[in-house]
Amino acid sequence: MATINDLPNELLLLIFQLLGETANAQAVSSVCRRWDQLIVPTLRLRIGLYDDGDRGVRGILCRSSRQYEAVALDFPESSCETTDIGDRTGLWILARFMHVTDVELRFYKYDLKRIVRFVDALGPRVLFLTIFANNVQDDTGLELNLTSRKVVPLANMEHLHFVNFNQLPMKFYAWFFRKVPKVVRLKVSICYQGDVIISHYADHLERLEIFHLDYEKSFNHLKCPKLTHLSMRMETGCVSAHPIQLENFFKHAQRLRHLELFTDCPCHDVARAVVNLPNLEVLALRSDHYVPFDDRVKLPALKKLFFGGRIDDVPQLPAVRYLFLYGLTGDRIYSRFVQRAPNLIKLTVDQDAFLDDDAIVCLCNGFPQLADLHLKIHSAVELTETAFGAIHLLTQLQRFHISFENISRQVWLGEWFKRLPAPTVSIENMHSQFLPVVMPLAEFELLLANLRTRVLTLRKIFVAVWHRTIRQEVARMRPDLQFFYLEPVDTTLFG
Amino acid sequence: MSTIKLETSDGVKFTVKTQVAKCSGTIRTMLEDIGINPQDGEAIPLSNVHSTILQKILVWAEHHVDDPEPPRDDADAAKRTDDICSWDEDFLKVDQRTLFDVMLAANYLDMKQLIAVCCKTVANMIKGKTADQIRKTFNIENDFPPGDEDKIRLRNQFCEERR
Repeated sequence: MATINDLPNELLLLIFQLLGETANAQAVSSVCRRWDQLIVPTLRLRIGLYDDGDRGVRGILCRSSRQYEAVALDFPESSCETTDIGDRTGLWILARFMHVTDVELRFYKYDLKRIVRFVDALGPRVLFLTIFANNVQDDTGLELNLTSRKVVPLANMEHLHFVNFNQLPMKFYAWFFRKVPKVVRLKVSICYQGDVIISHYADHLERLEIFHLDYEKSFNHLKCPKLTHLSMRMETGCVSAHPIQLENFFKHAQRLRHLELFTDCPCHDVARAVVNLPNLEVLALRSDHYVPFDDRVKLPALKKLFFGGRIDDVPQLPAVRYLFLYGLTGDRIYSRFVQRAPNLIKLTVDQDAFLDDDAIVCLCNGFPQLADLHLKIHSAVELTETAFGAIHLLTQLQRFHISFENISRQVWLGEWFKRLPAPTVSIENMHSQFLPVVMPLAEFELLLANLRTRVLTLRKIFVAVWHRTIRQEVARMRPDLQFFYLEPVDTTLFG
Repeated sequence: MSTIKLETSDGVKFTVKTQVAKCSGTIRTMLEDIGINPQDGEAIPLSNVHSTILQKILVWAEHHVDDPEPPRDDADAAKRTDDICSWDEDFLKVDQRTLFDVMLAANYLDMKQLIAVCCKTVANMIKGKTADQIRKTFNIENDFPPGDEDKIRLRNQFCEERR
């Protein structure tokens, strides 16, 4: 006869992972010792090192038996005197929690000395390091002699995230690279010196994420032979931005499987160069500029394509199973996809004004094998029965989702869904932020009359008359329904 | 339709459709990888499972035997707890001892879908409760040393956040 504490740790952890909010985690940690010990490693201890945080903090942490694995230290802007107190406490915390694997340091006003001091104090078990360096003061720490400083390398470090590294002296990097010799996952956010960091670790990198690097910097010359994931997000806000160049980079990154590029810079050269990546399985490309794809471009290993931007033509996508289209594509583009992606089984189209009746007919006729269809209808488009007639012909369809900007403009809703072949159906109303639209009862009954539906989700939609008793009514009419989701009803709305 | 025999810890023998029994990763491995031949008529011993619990689990497996494989790349769905289907919800409306016995047996039998739905059920029992309420719900003893109030002060002074 079992109780909850007879469950093995792995099952309790599975349960705790489902709890989500910090408040739940805190309650769990106060239940009993075992639960406390299990949940603490999933928490990060965040401490703001303000001026009053010296003795009190240490006393409490000393008496607490909790061993955190993740610690975040915030260094606020403060006077020199209080900085010293805060720093002493911070260093003491790093020494106190010997087992931390994940450290985040946020300097709101940094000086070089402090960054060096804290990186120096990290224990050998640290695997993940994040450093935020805000408010540049470029005259500090220049007198530091980093060249001859003794270094105990952090050989286990794997994952580095630098934020706001802009005007540090080169001798800092030389020292840091001795201290952290190898990194396999690197993320640089808003770092104008990001290229220095990336080029140093290039040889070992498996994953690289770049968020807003100085777009004039090129790293086309870099060689990252082990790289499998590259993600670049560069929003410059600049009309005359330089085109992004990656042809040479790709030549030396032949293991690349996953490529993401979200940018407002021209990226036509990148689009042409992706053919040189034989192992590319996932390509996500979102651009403000025209992308020159054509049918001579062939991506033989590609399984997923996410695309947002203007194209005239579509590359050959023989292995693509999942296609995600975002924003405006263009006239006749859907017929091109039909020709070039014969093995598609999952399709998402998000807010494209070109996705009208004709386009849906074209897609459904062209991809009769679709198992998953996810459509967000643009506000300028009104669908008619023609589109739904075509969707009804998709006999393999397992999941169907549709979102409308203004669902009340779309008439005959129930009729449309009555004949849908998919067992999983979800309908969403995107128009109203707060108030769900109300579906007439007759329409909803038509929806329920489709016995193929086993899972039904309605988002931001209420059902008239039934809003309070709908669960009972649905259970009575369709006891075979596996899952039914409806927005939780705020009864105050109905008085 | 082929069947196999299963024998529980209390010596009860069950005859089960092979397809249903294969909802259990443990049994599937025995049949497919180790090559135990179900035609021999010999019962597979499940020494950690009581007959009352196996009976319950077989009802679940029978109902879900034709379920499609869950999509693997859906990280959001894995974290949700409001998507328990109504049949499972009714199935798991049992006393706590049975619920945890089912979980232990499902764990032993390696039935990931059943474990997932049980975990969601328990998570829903914990969500939104205070530590005291949780202890009361599950009848857990507070084994912290008396006067361990530093933790509460720790929490007021600093912030713990989910990673």
